Amino acid sequence: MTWLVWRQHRAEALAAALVLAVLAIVVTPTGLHLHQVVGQLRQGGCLGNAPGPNCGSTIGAFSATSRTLSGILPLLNLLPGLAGVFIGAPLVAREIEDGTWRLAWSQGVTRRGWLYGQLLGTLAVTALSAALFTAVLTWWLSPVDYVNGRFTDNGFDFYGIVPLAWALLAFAIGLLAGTVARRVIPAMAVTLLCYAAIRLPVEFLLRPRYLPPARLWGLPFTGGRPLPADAWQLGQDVVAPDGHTILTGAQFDQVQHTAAAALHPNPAARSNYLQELNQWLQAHGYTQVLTYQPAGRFWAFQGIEAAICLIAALAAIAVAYRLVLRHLG
Amino acid sequence: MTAAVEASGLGKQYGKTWALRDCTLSLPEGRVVALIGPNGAGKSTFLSLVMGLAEPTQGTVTVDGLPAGSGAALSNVAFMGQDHALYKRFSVADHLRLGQFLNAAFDTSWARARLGDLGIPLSRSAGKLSGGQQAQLALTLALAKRARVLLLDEPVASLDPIARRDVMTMLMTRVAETGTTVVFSSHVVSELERVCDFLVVISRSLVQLAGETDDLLGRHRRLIGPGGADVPAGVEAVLERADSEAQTVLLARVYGPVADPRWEARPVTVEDLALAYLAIPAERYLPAPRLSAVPVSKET
Repeated sequence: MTWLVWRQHRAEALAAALVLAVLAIVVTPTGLHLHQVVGQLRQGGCLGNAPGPNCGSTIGAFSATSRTLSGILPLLNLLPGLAGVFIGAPLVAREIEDGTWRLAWSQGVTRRGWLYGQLLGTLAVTALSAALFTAVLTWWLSPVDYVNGRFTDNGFDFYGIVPLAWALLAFAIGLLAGTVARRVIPAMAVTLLCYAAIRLPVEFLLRPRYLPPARLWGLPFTGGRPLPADAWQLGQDVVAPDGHTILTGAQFDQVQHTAAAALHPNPAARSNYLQELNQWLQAHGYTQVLTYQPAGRFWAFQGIEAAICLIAALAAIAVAYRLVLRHLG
Repeated sequence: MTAAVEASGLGKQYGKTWALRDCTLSLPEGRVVALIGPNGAGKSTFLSLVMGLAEPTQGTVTVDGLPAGSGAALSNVAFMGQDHALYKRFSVADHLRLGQFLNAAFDTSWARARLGDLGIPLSRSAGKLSGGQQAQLALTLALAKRARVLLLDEPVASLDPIARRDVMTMLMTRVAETGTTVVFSSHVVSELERVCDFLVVISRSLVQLAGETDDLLGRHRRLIGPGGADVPAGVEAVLERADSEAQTVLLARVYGPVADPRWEARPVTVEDLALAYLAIPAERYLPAPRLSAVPVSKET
């Protein structure tokens, strides 16, 4: 089986290697630049809560590069999905579409043996590619951790075991879609849609709620950044003078209305208005509350998300396995 | 002698359609078995079930006593599908490697020699072979597996007449030399005449006729008698009847020799037999096979 699996899937393995090589080549210049700038920042004592007076230009250069990065990064979330589209979906679908399953399953290897071999080989390619993908992005993004932390969307998706788990889930979705659709192109399309339909709600609705978020109460309206960079801030709300009632949007509009009436803002001095409003709010006993996930939960969250993906992947593979063994032919 | 393939109450349903129903057959070892029937009759379904490529909806089928599709049965059966599907991007040599790696007894050197004789280059990718060459490669893969039972679905349909004859000769040689059982299907009856010694006629998902070719031919006669005459004694069933003023021609299943001097009895061909049964779907004749344990009188 080993020879057959390699002969059938070497093209996919090669394509994966090519994609990773291109990725590595593309990120190397910016990565080297960022690492160098962070080195300078560290040497100049610019990292920390009180940057020195000469740090401005270095920080500026750093910010410019990292802003460009955060525009590109979300697109890279598609890459684990490609494991499903190009490795998972054709695995069974192509055999059915070309009729070659009859040739493959009339040899001296049982259907179960054939499927084990295929799964083992393609899962290995998927896992290895995902691991390399994670390694490249971890190196690339590590300088940005000082600013954004790795818990936010642009970090969390590319660290640790989460990219691997998503790649395996995408593979499993592809396998199942191909087994059900029995044709390659429809299976690929369905895989991509399903991957997005699972990935987006998990990332934006479920992930912030894996554990009940922590809250930081009684913050003033003026002052520095109260949370460490590697915590994941989910929300920022205004608290009534009683110190524990969070204002709804409508209530806060009401408060702003009152403040505006009291401040009589001069249209010419509009730029000061926000500052004046903050001072007014502070003077009238309003405070802020931050909702966040503490930095220490990073690996717990990685584990939870990976577990969700892997359980879903196992379920999809089990269903596909049953279909291939029982209902094909 | 034992049965190479034993089907009992075998049936396969696709959706609401029965592709094969109520199939009870015993194909003896070391024979050339021809499955005859129109397209869509259930021949391919039967072969798929024997190979284990399809799961029976009802009934069972065994190969050399082993359940079809089981690991043990797989190495005893080889299969060539009707579409002779190959991996289009694999070279011919890749296909031989596939056979070699996936089968314990695969005869690579024989396969190489045969492909060499046919002038099929090992380095060419299968997708670039002609239809006939693809069929030959698929057939070579099935034969090189050295299985005891060889299932061939329309093996010669895409071959030219000379290649057909060569393949048929090769199959007969294989049966004679190794005691292999060859089961092959065809919707063209004439090409089987020479070679098959066991005949199975399938139509509309039902087996109509099954038995040793000699036995079947022995039990059927074309009878020519006077015009308007009654069916003579000794006739079990009339399959065809053509009346004219001068004579009556019957194709009949007989119990034995027809003694009536007014009737002349002539032998029938496999083709006559198959066509006569296919024309009357309700007519079935399934004598018990001549297996060693159960001696069957010809006159039952």
